Amino acid sequence: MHGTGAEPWQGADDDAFTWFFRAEFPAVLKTVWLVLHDRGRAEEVTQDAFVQLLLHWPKVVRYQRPDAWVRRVAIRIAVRTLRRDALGRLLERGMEAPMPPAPVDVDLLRAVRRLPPAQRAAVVLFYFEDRPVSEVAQILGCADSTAKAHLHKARQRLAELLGEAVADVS
Amino acid sequence: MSVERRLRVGLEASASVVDVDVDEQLRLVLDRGRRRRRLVRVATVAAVAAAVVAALVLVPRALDRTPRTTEREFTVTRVLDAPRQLVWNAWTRPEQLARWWGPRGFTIPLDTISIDLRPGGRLRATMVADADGTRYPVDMVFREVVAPQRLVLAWGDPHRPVPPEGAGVATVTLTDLGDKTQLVFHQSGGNTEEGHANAEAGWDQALERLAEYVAKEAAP
Repeated sequence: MHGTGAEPWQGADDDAFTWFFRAEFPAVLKTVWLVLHDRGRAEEVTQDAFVQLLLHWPKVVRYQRPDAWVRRVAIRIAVRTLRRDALGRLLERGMEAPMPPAPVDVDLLRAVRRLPPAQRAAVVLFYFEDRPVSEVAQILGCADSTAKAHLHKARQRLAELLGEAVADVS
Repeated sequence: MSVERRLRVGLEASASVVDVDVDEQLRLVLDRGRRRRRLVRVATVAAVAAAVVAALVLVPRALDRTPRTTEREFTVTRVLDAPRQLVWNAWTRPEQLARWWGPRGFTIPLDTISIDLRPGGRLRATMVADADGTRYPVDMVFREVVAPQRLVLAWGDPHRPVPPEGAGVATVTLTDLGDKTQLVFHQSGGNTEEGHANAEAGWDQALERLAEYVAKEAAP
C-alpha cells in the first residue's frame, strides 16, 4: 500500500527489504566480523550499512545488486573504522579479544589481525565470501590490480606469520 | 596445509560461531531507518520554510527598493581641529548647528531648528537658499544618540519616498584624537541616483563649514 504517510519501503518494498535482510544480514555480519574481529563493532557497522540500504532501498533494488551494494558500504565503514583506530584502541582490543572456542584456527585469526585493513578486507572477501578478484575490487572501491596486490601481499605476510607460529609450536 | 587452504577453512570455521538474532537486528535497523527519515524530513521542512521566508520577505524587499531609489551610500571622513566634546556640541545644539549645517550658499534660521536629542526624538530645520530664498525643510529622527561619539539619523519613509530624497540613514562617528577629532559621516540610501551626487557634495561642503566653525571655536 502506498497510502498517504506511507514510508517508501512499506508495502511491497517492506516485504522485499525484510526478505533481503533475513537472507543477507547474518552473512554480512560475519564478513564484517572477520574484518573487525570485534563483535560489538561488527554489529554496529553492519547495522549502519543496512540502515543506509533501507534509506536508498527503492533506488538500489531498481538499479543495482543490493547484496554487493550493502557489502560495499559495510566494508567501507569497517575499513575506515580500522584505519582510524589503526594503531590504537581497536587493534589492541582486537588483539586481546577472546578467541572463539575450538575448533577455530586461532593462529590464523591472530595472523589475519596483523594485516593492514584493506588487505584484511580483501582476504575475507576473496577466501571467505569466495568472490572473484573483480568483485573484491568493486566492493573495496579500488582497481583490480590493487585488489590483486592486496591479496598477494596478504598471502606473503600470512605465510611468514604462520610459518613462524608453526615452527614455534613444534 | 597451504596458507590458502587454511584461510578458506579457518575463516569459515571462525565465522560460523558468529550467531545472530536476525529479528532483533531487523527491528533495530528499521527503527534507526525511521528515525533517520524523520530527521531528513525535519531538515527538509526547515529548508523549505527558510526558502519560503526568503521568497516572501527578502525578494519583495529587494524589488521594493530597486526601482525607487538606487541603493547608494557614501562616506566622508575629516579630522577636525577641535576636541570631541566641542564637535558633539556643534551637532546637537541649535545655535551651533545654525552656524554650519547645509551646503555653502544656504542659511538655517535659528528659529526653524528644533532638536529633541534622544533616540526617537526629531531634528527639524529649514535650509534657505541665499540666492532665491527657496526653503528646504529637513525632518529627521534620531535612531541612536551616544554622547559624545555617535549619532544615527534617519529620514523618509521607505514605502512613500518623497522626491528628490527617499528614505535614508546617516551615521556620524566621532573619535577622540586629543586636541583633534576624527569625524566619519556615512549616509546610505536617501537619494535618487540624481540627488545622490548633490547630497554627497552638499555634505562635503557642510562638513567643511563644520571644520572651520569648530576650529575657530577651539582656538584660544
